[in-house]
Amino acid sequence: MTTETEKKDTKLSDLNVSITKISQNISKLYDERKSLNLMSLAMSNDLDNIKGLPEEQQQILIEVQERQKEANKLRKMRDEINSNIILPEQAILENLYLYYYRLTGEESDLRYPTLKKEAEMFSRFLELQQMFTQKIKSTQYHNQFQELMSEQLSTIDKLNEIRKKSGNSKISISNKIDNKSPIGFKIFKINKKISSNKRKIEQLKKEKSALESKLGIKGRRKKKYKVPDLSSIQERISEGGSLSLDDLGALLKHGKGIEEIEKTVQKSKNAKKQVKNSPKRRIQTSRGRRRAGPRDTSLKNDR
Amino acid sequence: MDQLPDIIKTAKEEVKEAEEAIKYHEDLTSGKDGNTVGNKEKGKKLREEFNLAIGRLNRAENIFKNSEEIISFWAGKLEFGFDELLDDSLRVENGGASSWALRKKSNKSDTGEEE
Repeated sequence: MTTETEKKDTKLSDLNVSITKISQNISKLYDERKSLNLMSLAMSNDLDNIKGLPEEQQQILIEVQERQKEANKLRKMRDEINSNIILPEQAILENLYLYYYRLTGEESDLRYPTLKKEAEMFSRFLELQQMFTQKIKSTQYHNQFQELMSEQLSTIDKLNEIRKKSGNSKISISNKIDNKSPIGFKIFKINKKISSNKRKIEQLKKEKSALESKLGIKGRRKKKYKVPDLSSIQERISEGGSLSLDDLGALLKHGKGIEEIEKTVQKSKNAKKQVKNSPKRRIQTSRGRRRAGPRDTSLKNDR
Repeated sequence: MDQLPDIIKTAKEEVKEAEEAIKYHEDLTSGKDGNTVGNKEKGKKLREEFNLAIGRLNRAENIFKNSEEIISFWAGKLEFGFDELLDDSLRVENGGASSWALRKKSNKSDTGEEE
C-alpha cells in the first residue's frame, strides 16, 4: 500500500469518527430539545394559569414537572459519562479483546512486549474493564430517560383528553418558540446548533463519498431486498430451471412446497393447453358410425 | 519460561546453519563463473535467513536475560498490590475522564495553541 493511499485511509477513518460524533451530538441535542419542550409545557407555557386549572389537571402537570426533573438528572448523568468515556461500547469491547490477547496470547517469532509496554497494556486493560462498566451504566440511564420521556408524552396525551372533554384547547408541543422566555431561548439556540451540525454532517458526508470514490470503494448502500415473485418461481420450476436460496425462502414463506407448486403449475399448464387448443376444434358433420359409444351404458345395450 | 533454554539452543543452531550455508555458497561461487544473477539472488536469500535467525536468537536471549526482572516485577505486584497500574481504572471508577478522553482533550488544546 502506498503512503498516499494510507493517508487517504486514515483521513477516511477520521471522517467516519467525526460523522459518528456529530450525529451523536445531534441526537443529544434532539433529546435536550424534547425535554425542554416538555419543561416549557410543564411550566404552563400554553396553559392559562396552573392555579386556575382544575385539580386533576394541576396534578398531572405537577407529575410532568417532577418526572421532567428526574429525566433531566438522568440525561445529565448519561452525558457526563459519555463525555468522560468517549469510546463507544463496541470499541471498548474490541480493545478489551485486543489487549487480552496481546497480554495472554503467544506471539510469533518471540516478539513479546517489553516490561514497560506490558505494564502499560495491563493498566489500559484494567481501565477498559472499568470503562465498560461505566458505559453500561450510561446505557441504563439513557434507557430510563427514554422511558420517562415516552411517559411524559403519554401524560400530555392524557391531559389533552381531559381538556378536550372539558372543551379547552389542546396542548401541543408547538414549533413556535417564544424567544423571550428563557426556555424558549434555549430551544432556539439548540435549533441553531442542530442545523449547523446538520450542515457539518452533510459536508463531511460529501467529503467522505469523494474520498471513497478516489480510493475505489463502492458506495456501501445496501441493496434493497427484492422479494421473489411466486409466479416467476413457478415458471422457472416448470421449465426445469434451478432455484436460488431466495426463491426457496419465498416458497417456504408462502407455505408452499415444491410439490404443491408443481401441482399448480401442471394445472395451469393444462389450462393453457385447453385455451390453446380450443380455437382449433372444428365442428363438422361426421359420416358413418359413431366411433365412441354413448356414455350411458343402458343406451349401449340397445345397439 | 522452562522452554527458553531449548528455544535459545535451537536458535543458536539455526544461526550456525545459516552461517555455514552462506560460507558454503560463497566458496562455491568464488570462481569466475560464479558471479551470476541466480547466485547473487541465492546469496541474498541466505543472508536474509541468517538475519532472521540472529534476530530470533537475540530476542530469546533478551527475554531470558530480563526474565528475572519481569518475574520479580509481577510477583511484587501480586504481593504488594497493583498501585500505579490501577490509577487510570480508579479514576474512571470515580467518575473521572478516561485516558482516551484526556488524550483527546490534550490534542485539542495543542492544536488550539498552535492556531
